Amino acid sequence: MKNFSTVNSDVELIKAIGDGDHKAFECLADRYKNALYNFVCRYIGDMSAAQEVTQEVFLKIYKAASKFKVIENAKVSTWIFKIAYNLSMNELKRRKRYLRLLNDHAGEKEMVDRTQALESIENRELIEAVLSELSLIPENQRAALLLRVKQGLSYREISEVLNVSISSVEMLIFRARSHLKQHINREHKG
Amino acid sequence: MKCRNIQEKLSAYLDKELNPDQFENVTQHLLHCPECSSALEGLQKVDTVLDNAPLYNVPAKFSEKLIQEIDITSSSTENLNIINLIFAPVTKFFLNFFTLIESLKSFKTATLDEFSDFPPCSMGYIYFSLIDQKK
Repeated sequence: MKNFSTVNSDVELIKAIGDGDHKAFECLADRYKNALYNFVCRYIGDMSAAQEVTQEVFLKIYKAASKFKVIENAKVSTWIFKIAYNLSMNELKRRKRYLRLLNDHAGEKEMVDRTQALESIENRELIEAVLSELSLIPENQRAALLLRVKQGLSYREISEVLNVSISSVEMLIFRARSHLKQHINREHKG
Repeated sequence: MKCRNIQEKLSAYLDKELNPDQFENVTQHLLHCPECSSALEGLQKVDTVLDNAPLYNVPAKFSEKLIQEIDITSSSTENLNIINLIFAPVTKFFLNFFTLIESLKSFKTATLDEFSDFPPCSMGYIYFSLIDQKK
Protein backbone atom coordinates (compact mmCIF):
# COMPACT_ATOMS: atom_id res chain seq x y z
CA MET A 1 0.00 0.00 0.00
CA LYS A 2 1.42 3.36 -1.06
CA ASN A 3 1.62 6.49 1.05
CA PHE A 4 -0.66 9.11 -0.42
CA SER A 5 -0.31 12.80 0.21
CA THR A 6 -1.31 16.16 -1.19
CA VAL A 7 1.07 15.74 -4.11
CA ASN A 8 -0.91 12.87 -5.60
CA SER A 9 -3.35 13.94 -8.28
CA ASP A 10 -7.04 13.18 -7.96
CA VAL A 11 -6.80 10.75 -10.88
CA GLU A 12 -4.01 8.80 -9.17
CA LEU A 13 -6.09 8.59 -6.01
CA ILE A 14 -9.19 7.42 -7.86
CA LYS A 15 -7.20 4.71 -9.65
CA ALA A 16 -5.75 3.52 -6.36
CA ILE A 17 -9.21 3.53 -4.73
CA GLY A 18 -10.45 1.45 -7.66
CA ASP A 19 -7.72 -1.07 -6.76
CA GLY A 20 -9.06 -1.16 -3.19
CA ASP A 21 -6.51 1.14 -1.55
CA HIS A 22 -8.01 2.52 1.66
CA LYS A 23 -5.19 5.03 2.25
CA ALA A 24 -5.91 6.64 -1.11
CA PHE A 25 -9.56 6.86 -0.15
CA GLU A 26 -8.72 8.53 3.16
CA CYS A 27 -6.54 11.04 1.31
CA LEU A 28 -9.29 11.87 -1.20
CA ALA A 29 -11.85 12.16 1.61
CA ASP A 30 -9.59 14.59 3.48
CA ARG A 31 -9.18 16.62 0.33
CA TYR A 32 -12.87 16.98 -0.48
CA LYS A 33 -14.86 16.42 2.70
CA ASN A 34 -15.18 20.07 3.76
CA ALA A 35 -15.82 21.41 0.25
CA LEU A 36 -18.51 18.79 -0.34
CA TYR A 37 -20.04 19.26 3.09
CA ASN A 38 -20.27 23.03 2.59
CA PHE A 39 -21.78 22.66 -0.87
CA VAL A 40 -24.37 20.12 0.30
CA CYS A 41 -25.12 22.18 3.43
CA ARG A 42 -25.83 25.31 1.44
CA TYR A 43 -27.72 23.45 -1.25
CA ILE A 44 -30.09 21.41 0.88
CA GLY A 45 -30.04 23.69 3.93
CA ASP A 46 -29.81 21.08 6.66
CA MET A 47 -26.56 20.24 8.40
CA SER A 48 -27.39 16.79 9.73
CA ALA A 49 -28.82 15.72 6.39
CA ALA A 50 -25.76 17.24 4.70
CA GLN A 51 -23.54 15.00 6.79
CA GLU A 52 -25.42 11.91 5.66
CA VAL A 53 -25.44 12.98 2.03
CA THR A 54 -21.70 13.75 2.13
CA GLN A 55 -21.06 10.28 3.55
CA GLU A 56 -23.23 8.80 0.82
CA VAL A 57 -21.22 10.72 -1.80
CA PHE A 58 -17.98 9.18 -0.53
CA LEU A 59 -19.46 5.68 -0.45
CA LYS A 60 -20.58 6.13 -4.04
CA ILE A 61 -17.11 7.35 -5.01
CA TYR A 62 -15.59 4.29 -3.34
CA LYS A 63 -17.91 1.89 -5.14
CA ALA A 64 -17.65 3.61 -8.53
CA ALA A 65 -13.91 4.39 -8.49
CA SER A 66 -12.98 1.27 -10.45
CA LYS A 67 -15.38 2.34 -13.23
CA PHE A 68 -14.04 5.90 -13.45
CA LYS A 69 -12.67 6.56 -16.93
CA VAL A 70 -9.97 9.13 -17.44
CA ILE A 71 -11.13 11.35 -20.29
CA GLU A 72 -9.19 14.32 -21.59
CA ASN A 73 -10.25 17.61 -19.95
CA ALA A 74 -12.49 15.73 -17.51
CA LYS A 75 -11.75 16.54 -13.91
CA VAL A 76 -12.28 14.25 -10.96
CA SER A 77 -13.67 17.19 -8.97
CA THR A 78 -16.41 17.69 -11.58
CA TRP A 79 -17.35 14.01 -11.30
CA ILE A 80 -17.38 14.24 -7.50
CA PHE A 81 -19.56 17.36 -7.47
CA LYS A 82 -21.91 15.77 -9.99
CA ILE A 83 -22.41 12.85 -7.58
CA ALA A 84 -22.92 15.33 -4.73
CA TYR A 85 -25.40 17.39 -6.73
CA ASN A 86 -27.44 14.35 -7.78
CA LEU A 87 -27.59 12.93 -4.27
CA SER A 88 -28.47 16.32 -2.79
CA MET A 89 -31.21 16.75 -5.35
CA ASN A 90 -32.58 13.32 -4.43
CA GLU A 91 -32.48 14.29 -0.78
CA LEU A 92 -34.43 17.49 -1.47
CA LYS A 93 -37.00 15.56 -3.48
CA ARG A 94 -37.32 12.96 -0.74
CA ARG A 95 -37.84 15.44 2.03
CA LYS A 96 -40.24 17.62 0.06
CA ARG A 97 -39.55 20.47 2.31
CA TYR A 98 -36.82 22.89 2.87
CA LEU A 99 -35.41 23.48 6.34
CA ARG A 100 -33.82 26.80 6.88
CA LEU A 101 -30.11 26.56 7.50
CA LEU A 102 -30.07 29.45 9.88
CA ASN A 103 -32.25 27.57 12.36
CA ASP A 104 -29.47 25.07 12.80
CA HIS A 105 -26.75 27.59 13.50
CA ALA A 106 -27.27 27.88 17.24
CA GLY A 107 -26.64 24.23 18.10
CA GLU A 108 -23.64 23.68 15.85
CA LYS A 109 -20.21 23.82 17.42
CA GLU A 110 -18.34 22.53 14.39
CA MET A 111 -18.68 25.77 12.51
CA VAL A 112 -15.52 27.74 11.85
CA ASP A 113 -16.44 31.15 13.06
CA ARG A 114 -15.16 33.25 10.23
CA THR A 115 -17.87 35.78 10.87
CA GLN A 116 -15.89 36.99 13.89
CA ALA A 117 -13.28 38.29 11.49
CA LEU A 118 -15.83 40.50 9.82
CA GLU A 119 -15.70 44.19 10.39
CA SER A 120 -19.12 44.79 11.88
CA ILE A 121 -22.32 43.22 13.08
CA GLU A 122 -24.00 44.85 10.11
CA ASN A 123 -21.93 42.67 7.78
CA ARG A 124 -22.87 39.55 9.71
CA GLU A 125 -26.52 40.45 9.46
CA LEU A 126 -26.14 41.05 5.75
CA ILE A 127 -24.48 37.65 5.27
CA GLU A 128 -27.26 35.93 7.18
CA ALA A 129 -29.88 37.78 5.16
CA VAL A 130 -28.22 36.82 1.87
CA LEU A 131 -27.81 33.18 2.94
CA SER A 132 -31.42 33.12 3.95
CA GLU A 133 -32.43 34.54 0.57
CA LEU A 134 -30.10 32.05 -1.15
CA SER A 135 -32.18 29.25 0.31
CA LEU A 136 -35.27 30.68 -1.40
CA ILE A 137 -34.03 30.99 -4.98
CA PRO A 138 -34.67 28.12 -7.42
CA GLU A 139 -32.57 25.03 -6.71
CA ASN A 140 -30.69 25.00 -10.01
CA GLN A 141 -29.77 28.70 -9.67
CA ARG A 142 -28.54 28.06 -6.13
CA ALA A 143 -26.44 25.06 -7.20
CA ALA A 144 -24.91 26.93 -10.15
CA LEU A 145 -24.01 29.96 -8.04
CA LEU A 146 -22.52 27.87 -5.21
CA LEU A 147 -20.44 25.80 -7.61
CA ARG A 148 -19.14 28.98 -9.22
CA VAL A 149 -18.56 31.25 -6.26
CA LYS A 150 -17.73 28.81 -3.47
CA GLN A 151 -16.09 25.99 -5.46
CA GLY A 152 -14.63 27.97 -8.36
CA LEU A 153 -15.89 25.63 -11.09
CA SER A 154 -15.91 26.95 -14.66
CA TYR A 155 -19.18 27.27 -16.61
CA ARG A 156 -18.26 24.18 -18.64
CA GLU A 157 -17.69 22.14 -15.47
CA ILE A 158 -20.93 23.39 -13.94
CA SER A 159 -22.78 22.47 -17.14
CA GLU A 160 -21.45 18.90 -16.72
CA VAL A 161 -22.48 18.77 -13.08
CA LEU A 162 -25.99 20.12 -13.67
CA ASN A 163 -26.35 18.42 -17.04
CA VAL A 164 -27.38 21.62 -18.84
CA SER A 165 -25.83 23.77 -21.59
CA ILE A 166 -23.14 26.37 -20.88
CA SER A 167 -25.50 29.20 -21.91
CA SER A 168 -28.05 27.90 -19.37
CA VAL A 169 -25.37 27.99 -16.69
CA GLU A 170 -24.62 31.60 -17.61
CA MET A 171 -28.30 32.47 -17.31
CA LEU A 172 -28.75 30.58 -14.01
CA ILE A 173 -25.82 32.36 -12.39
CA PHE A 174 -26.89 35.73 -13.79
CA ARG A 175 -30.40 35.32 -12.38
CA ALA A 176 -29.15 34.11 -9.01
CA ARG A 177 -26.72 37.02 -8.67
CA SER A 178 -29.32 39.57 -9.84
CA HIS A 179 -31.84 38.26 -7.33
CA LEU A 180 -29.36 38.43 -4.44
CA LYS A 181 -28.13 41.85 -5.59
CA GLN A 182 -31.67 43.22 -5.39
CA HIS A 183 -32.02 41.66 -1.95
CA ILE A 184 -28.81 43.34 -0.76
CA ASN A 185 -30.04 46.69 -2.11
CA ARG A 186 -33.31 46.25 -0.23
CA GLU A 187 -31.38 45.37 2.95
CA HIS A 188 -29.28 48.53 2.62
CA LYS A 189 -32.35 50.67 2.08
CA GLY A 190 -34.16 49.00 4.96
CA MET B 1 -24.31 47.73 -27.20
CA LYS B 2 -27.17 48.92 -25.04
CA CYS B 3 -26.88 49.00 -21.26
CA ARG B 4 -29.48 46.23 -20.93
CA ASN B 5 -27.45 43.87 -23.13
CA ILE B 6 -24.28 44.77 -21.26
CA GLN B 7 -25.89 44.15 -17.88
CA GLU B 8 -27.00 40.69 -18.96
CA LYS B 9 -23.35 39.89 -19.67
CA LEU B 10 -21.93 41.34 -16.46
CA SER B 11 -22.23 38.11 -14.49
CA ALA B 12 -20.25 36.16 -17.10
CA TYR B 13 -17.85 39.12 -17.36
CA LEU B 14 -17.22 38.85 -13.64
CA ASP B 15 -16.49 35.14 -14.04
CA LYS B 16 -14.21 35.76 -17.06
CA GLU B 17 -16.40 33.48 -19.14
CA LEU B 18 -16.98 35.85 -22.09
CA ASN B 19 -15.16 35.42 -25.37
CA PRO B 20 -12.38 38.01 -26.01
CA ASP B 21 -14.56 40.24 -28.24
CA GLN B 22 -17.44 40.35 -25.77
CA PHE B 23 -15.02 40.93 -22.93
CA GLU B 24 -13.48 43.89 -24.74
CA ASN B 25 -16.90 45.36 -25.59
CA VAL B 26 -18.06 45.19 -21.99
CA THR B 27 -14.77 46.62 -20.70
CA GLN B 28 -15.00 49.57 -23.10
CA HIS B 29 -18.64 50.18 -22.17
CA LEU B 30 -17.88 50.13 -18.44
CA LEU B 31 -15.25 52.86 -18.90
CA HIS B 32 -17.89 55.44 -19.72
CA CYS B 33 -21.10 54.05 -18.18
CA PRO B 34 -21.54 54.67 -14.43
CA GLU B 35 -24.87 52.80 -14.38
CA CYS B 36 -23.38 49.52 -15.66
CA SER B 37 -20.28 49.98 -13.47
CA SER B 38 -22.58 50.28 -10.49
CA ALA B 39 -24.46 47.14 -11.59
CA LEU B 40 -21.15 45.27 -11.77
CA GLU B 41 -20.26 46.43 -8.27
CA GLY B 42 -23.62 45.10 -7.07
CA LEU B 43 -22.83 41.65 -8.48
CA GLN B 44 -19.35 41.74 -6.98
CA LYS B 45 -20.92 42.54 -3.63
CA VAL B 46 -22.97 39.32 -3.87
CA ASP B 47 -19.78 37.31 -4.37
CA THR B 48 -18.05 39.12 -1.51
CA VAL B 49 -20.93 38.38 0.84
CA LEU B 50 -20.99 34.70 -0.18
CA ASP B 51 -17.20 34.49 0.18
CA ASN B 52 -17.49 35.78 3.73
CA ALA B 53 -20.22 33.32 4.65
CA PRO B 54 -19.13 31.00 7.44
CA LEU B 55 -17.48 27.75 6.40
CA TYR B 56 -18.39 24.48 8.01
CA ASN B 57 -16.08 21.68 8.94
CA VAL B 58 -17.45 18.18 8.84
CA PRO B 59 -18.09 16.86 12.36
CA ALA B 60 -15.02 15.44 14.10
CA LYS B 61 -16.05 11.79 13.83
CA PHE B 62 -17.05 12.04 10.18
CA SER B 63 -13.86 10.45 8.78
CA GLU B 64 -13.91 7.70 11.40
CA LYS B 65 -17.52 6.80 10.58
CA LEU B 66 -16.79 6.92 6.88
CA ILE B 67 -13.86 4.51 7.16
CA GLN B 68 -16.06 2.15 9.22
CA GLU B 69 -18.71 2.27 6.49
CA ILE B 70 -16.09 1.54 3.85
CA ASP B 71 -14.79 -1.42 5.87
CA ILE B 72 -18.33 -2.79 6.13
CA THR B 73 -18.85 -2.28 2.39
CA SER B 74 -15.56 -4.00 1.51
CA SER B 75 -16.15 -6.92 3.89
CA SER B 76 -19.67 -7.47 2.58
CA THR B 77 -18.26 -7.44 -0.96
CA GLU B 78 -15.61 -9.97 0.14
CA ASN B 79 -18.31 -12.15 1.73
CA LEU B 80 -20.27 -12.03 -1.50
CA ASN B 81 -17.13 -13.06 -3.36
CA ILE B 82 -16.66 -16.04 -1.00
CA ILE B 83 -20.30 -17.06 -1.47
CA ASN B 84 -19.85 -16.77 -5.21
CA LEU B 85 -16.67 -18.83 -5.00
CA ILE B 86 -18.54 -21.66 -3.25
CA PHE B 87 -21.76 -21.57 -5.20
CA ALA B 88 -20.46 -20.78 -8.66
CA PRO B 89 -19.22 -24.37 -9.41
CA VAL B 90 -22.47 -25.83 -7.97
CA THR B 91 -24.60 -23.49 -10.08
CA LYS B 92 -22.50 -24.28 -13.14
CA PHE B 93 -22.88 -28.03 -12.53
CA PHE B 94 -26.68 -27.83 -12.31
CA LEU B 95 -26.89 -25.51 -15.29
CA ASN B 96 -24.89 -27.97 -17.43
CA PHE B 97 -26.90 -30.88 -16.04
CA PHE B 98 -30.26 -29.38 -16.98
CA THR B 99 -28.96 -28.27 -20.38
CA LEU B 100 -27.92 -31.88 -21.02
CA ILE B 101 -31.30 -33.23 -19.97
CA GLU B 102 -33.11 -30.69 -22.09
CA SER B 103 -31.05 -31.59 -25.13
CA LEU B 104 -31.91 -35.29 -24.66
CA LYS B 105 -35.59 -34.56 -24.90
CA SER B 106 -36.71 -35.09 -28.48
CA PHE B 107 -39.59 -32.96 -29.60
CA LYS B 108 -42.29 -34.92 -31.38
CA THR B 109 -44.36 -33.33 -34.09
CA ALA B 110 -48.07 -34.01 -34.20
CA THR B 111 -50.32 -34.40 -37.21
CA LEU B 112 -53.36 -32.18 -37.74
CA ASP B 113 -55.61 -35.18 -37.03
CA GLU B 114 -54.71 -34.93 -33.38
CA PHE B 115 -56.52 -31.62 -33.29
CA SER B 116 -59.74 -33.08 -34.61
CA ASP B 117 -61.48 -33.44 -31.25
CA PHE B 118 -63.22 -30.07 -31.35
CA PRO B 119 -66.93 -30.03 -30.46
CA PRO B 120 -69.22 -29.81 -33.54
CA CYS B 121 -70.01 -26.24 -34.72
CA SER B 122 -67.04 -24.78 -32.82
CA MET B 123 -64.62 -22.50 -34.69
CA GLY B 124 -61.89 -25.15 -34.53
CA TYR B 125 -64.21 -27.80 -35.97
CA ILE B 126 -65.25 -25.50 -38.86
CA TYR B 127 -61.60 -24.51 -39.54
CA PHE B 128 -60.35 -28.09 -39.79
CA SER B 129 -63.40 -29.12 -41.85
CA LEU B 130 -62.54 -26.42 -44.38
CA ILE B 131 -58.89 -27.57 -44.50
CA ASP B 132 -60.06 -31.20 -45.06
CA GLN B 133 -62.36 -30.03 -47.88
CA LYS B 134 -59.45 -28.26 -49.60
CA LYS B 135 -57.37 -31.44 -49.40
